[in-house]
Amino acid sequence: MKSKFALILAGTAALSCMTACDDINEADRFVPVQPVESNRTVLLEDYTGQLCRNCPEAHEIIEGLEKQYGDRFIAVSIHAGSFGVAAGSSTLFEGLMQPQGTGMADKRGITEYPQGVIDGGKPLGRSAWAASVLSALEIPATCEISGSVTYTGSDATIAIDLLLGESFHGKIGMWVVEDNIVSIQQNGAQLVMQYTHNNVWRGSVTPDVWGEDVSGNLGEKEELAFNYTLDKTWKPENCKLVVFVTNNNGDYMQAASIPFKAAE
Amino acid sequence: MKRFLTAAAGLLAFGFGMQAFDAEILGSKVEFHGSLQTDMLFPEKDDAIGSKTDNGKFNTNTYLDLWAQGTQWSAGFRLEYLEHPLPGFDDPGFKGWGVPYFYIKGRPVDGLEITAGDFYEQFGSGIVFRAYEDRALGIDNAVRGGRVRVTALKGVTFKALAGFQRRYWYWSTRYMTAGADIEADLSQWWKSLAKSQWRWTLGGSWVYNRQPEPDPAIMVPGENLRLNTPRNVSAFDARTQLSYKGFNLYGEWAHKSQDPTEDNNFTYKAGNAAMLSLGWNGGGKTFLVQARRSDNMAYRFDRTASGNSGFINNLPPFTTQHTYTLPSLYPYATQLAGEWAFQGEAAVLFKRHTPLGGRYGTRLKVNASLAYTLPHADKSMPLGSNGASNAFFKTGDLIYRDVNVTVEKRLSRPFTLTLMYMNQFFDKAAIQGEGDRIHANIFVADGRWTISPKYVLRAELQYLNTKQDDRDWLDGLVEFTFAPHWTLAASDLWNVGRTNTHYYNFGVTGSFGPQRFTVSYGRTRAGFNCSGGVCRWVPATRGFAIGYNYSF
Repeated sequence: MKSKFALILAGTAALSCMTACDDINEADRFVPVQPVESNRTVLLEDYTGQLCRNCPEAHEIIEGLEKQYGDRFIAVSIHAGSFGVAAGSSTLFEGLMQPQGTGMADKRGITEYPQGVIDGGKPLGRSAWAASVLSALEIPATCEISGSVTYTGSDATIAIDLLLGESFHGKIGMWVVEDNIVSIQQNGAQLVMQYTHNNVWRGSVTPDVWGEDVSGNLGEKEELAFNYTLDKTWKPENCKLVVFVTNNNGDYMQAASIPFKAAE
Repeated sequence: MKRFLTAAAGLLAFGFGMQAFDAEILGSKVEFHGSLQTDMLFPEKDDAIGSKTDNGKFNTNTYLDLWAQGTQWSAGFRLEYLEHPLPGFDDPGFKGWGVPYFYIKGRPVDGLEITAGDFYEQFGSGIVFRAYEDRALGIDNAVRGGRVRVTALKGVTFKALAGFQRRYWYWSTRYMTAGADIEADLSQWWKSLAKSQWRWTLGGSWVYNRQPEPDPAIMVPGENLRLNTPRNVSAFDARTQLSYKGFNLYGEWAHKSQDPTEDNNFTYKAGNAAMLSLGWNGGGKTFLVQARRSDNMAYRFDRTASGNSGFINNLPPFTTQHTYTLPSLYPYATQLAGEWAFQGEAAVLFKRHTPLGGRYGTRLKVNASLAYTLPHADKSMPLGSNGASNAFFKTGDLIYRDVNVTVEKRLSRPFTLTLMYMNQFFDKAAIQGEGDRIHANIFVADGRWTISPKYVLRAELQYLNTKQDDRDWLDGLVEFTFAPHWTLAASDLWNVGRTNTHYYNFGVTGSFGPQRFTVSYGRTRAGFNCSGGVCRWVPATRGFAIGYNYSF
């Protein structure tokens, strides 16, 4: 009786083994997703580092999302943590980690690299970025951001227009971001000496990196003006201003990227 | 200081107040038992080592287990307080407090045990299933559900379980785990085997994981496409162990079905692992060689999980787990992507009154470990692809090597000396994500002087020599024991090669029956704390620490 009992149990387990796998053929692995029409621009904060082996894979994902969504997607790569190389720490190559970088990562709760924060949400591994960007685009934006940034030498003059679709009190943040910086980057087991870094966070126009207070009423156009001095090592022709607006709950309302243009 | 004294007083009061006791319930004797484990830190800011107080001025990981034991049943629960966890336990979701573990277990008939509630379990070596707790690493993937253990058939143990696994303070019903394991001791069935000194066991396991579509879905970046991920992932395992007198042979093979996860860049390759271990001991000599190959065998119940959480299985380490400070400065962590790992050890006891044994005997041990990656990693393959193909016997890069020789000799009646030399290669970038390829020579001298039956003095001196990373280290420890209750210790880990930083520590340990406590003050270096092939990053700290354990 005992042996029958044991054999029945073993047999049940064996049968279960044969029925409990779901192998998926190559032809069935990808399912189409409806594209989204959106008036929102989503902002991805990419927490990264020049010594981070897996971060180039995250950069490739960003490139894919930029191609897919155009100006509806903005990425900012914030070098931080123990994988970051501090700016000015080497004469052989340029370090891209600004003093504020690690504090920004700590504020967001970044625990590993690379991780991304989409529209101020929780940190996500890179495999979740594409889906989260799609979800964020489904939320209608309630303001529009436009403006201009002109520079003469290292001095930049910033003019921002906010057209509000609702009354709100919140914050406006402005980050200077630079493309086409050639420096080192760990890529897997290899240290690449001439790696092209894009979307690199350089600094904040507002003293608080997360923005300064702004408010307005439905239908109003808020016109804001700022001045900013770039570091002499930055190339203004490769820079852009990433502007984002959050409400008092910290929810992202809109973002925009404004290229720097030389003053005529 | 006030908080420190209050905590210490509270623990002492608890320890002297709580004891095991018996009671009679419904005519049956019931015993009540428990255990308390608490580790506390009162951190201080120390810019020289990067110690912070961002998580508050009092941190603790505290666990209280209470259970009742009847004749044919037991039941219990555990209270955990992790609301202000120790530094390094800052995974999102780790913080919290409550009763995350409770169970009732019964043996209604001989040979049958049933558990309902939370439980831990392991199949074979754990390659396909291991639900366990490791408090030092913050790991707890207990199953909440039901388990049956059948030992009614002579020589056969059968287990079956199903439930939802713990991930910090969550037990999502979206992810179900089930499994069964059978192990048979053939010497119980074959008379000729039973009469001889041969023992032969055969075992097999099956584990099943059900997962819904990930939320959010796994999208292909740059395309309006999402991945179609398998709802059911299974793993199988077969193993055998053969032993004869001092000889022991163990072999295990495991297979996992398609399982696209964060660990393998969502590729669709099946996983597999094979392990072989051969050992012999007798006549004061031991010998062991082991080899294991694993490829894509990280098995999680949530395919989007990362870090140390969400595992169904555990890949045991195949490198020596050192206990001395400097040999464990660069600890190896099992490579989830896949690895070839080898370990060999030979030990001999030269008996006393022999030329090599001397007056009291000498123990000599030689140990070596090697770990290689596989030639190609799944993570480098495109999302949704078949993953990387690796020929079975081909290895990739050497990422870890450790050859060490230990001699333990009693030089006189009261004095024993242990000397160790270790040559280590550690590819820090491959194992920890960044850093140098470190070549180190490590020397350890450990002397123990039994001054009298009541007093023992132990001293260690260690030196690590390397041209990479933080370069050379020196470590010293002096420990004085007043038997049976007290031990005083002072140590200093000194980075002589680059930073000139001292990581000093002074402590006292008391042991009174079931109670044991440690009170210490000093600095702890930032680094990886590893156990069983799994590692956790621990930041640098300075401050008072209290550790207390009480079982009743």
